[in-house]
Amino acid sequence: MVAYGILLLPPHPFAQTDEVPDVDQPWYIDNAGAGGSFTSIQGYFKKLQEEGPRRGYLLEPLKSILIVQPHKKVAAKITFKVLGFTVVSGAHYLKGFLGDPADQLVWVQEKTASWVEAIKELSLVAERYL
Amino acid sequence: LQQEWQFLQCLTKGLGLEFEGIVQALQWDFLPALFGDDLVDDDYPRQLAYLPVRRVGLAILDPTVSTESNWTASTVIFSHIIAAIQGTTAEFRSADHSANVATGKVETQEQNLSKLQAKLEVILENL
Repeated sequence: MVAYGILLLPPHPFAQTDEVPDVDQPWYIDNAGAGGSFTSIQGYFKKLQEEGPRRGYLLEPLKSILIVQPHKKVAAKITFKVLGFTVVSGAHYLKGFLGDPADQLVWVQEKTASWVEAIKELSLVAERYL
Repeated sequence: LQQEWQFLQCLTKGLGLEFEGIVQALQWDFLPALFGDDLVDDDYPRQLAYLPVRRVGLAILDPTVSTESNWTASTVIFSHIIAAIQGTTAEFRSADHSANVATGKVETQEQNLSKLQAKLEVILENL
């Protein structure tokens, strides 16, 4: 995985120079992210589509998630309709969460509920093997 | 499991109350499964369970207590890289980041151990 990450390095800097200067680009291995205006993100994505395949990085727009403020959801859906991004006001990202606090709370509650269930299952195992 | 919720606490601020269900499950399902159903709130086995193994405990962490400290430790330890991503520092330096992480981890560990040592002493005094 580390080697794969290093192999992917060449596509990273191209947009950090002067071609798409106003997009923040957090990368984690092959998980690309972009923060900026709708126009900038569109430009950045187009560049990645052009440059990525030459380095074995194939983008899947339908798997891409666009996180926007709740009042911008409609505009985002219209803007990114062609690319087919999923538009949301909050989503998990690298084991954390980005976006609307209300969505975050729901996500955290789902996670804690699953951990509670796991503890209860573990308790049943503990009883059996004591 | 503990690693998972601690990781979440490091990334997300102000979640204390959301972990109450986990504490309840530990208190009323997991610990009684280990020590028997006749435990009450302040039984010694229950108190000791929350101490680290080196302090005769089971290293079970109370997630409602660790929320703020995990968040604070994380933001302090990773302050250099956070500033770099936010653009509030002139330049990201790997050496500075590594030094921050190393120092922060040691300090956090020492603080936690000293708190837990104090807890152990209180338990031993009351025995």
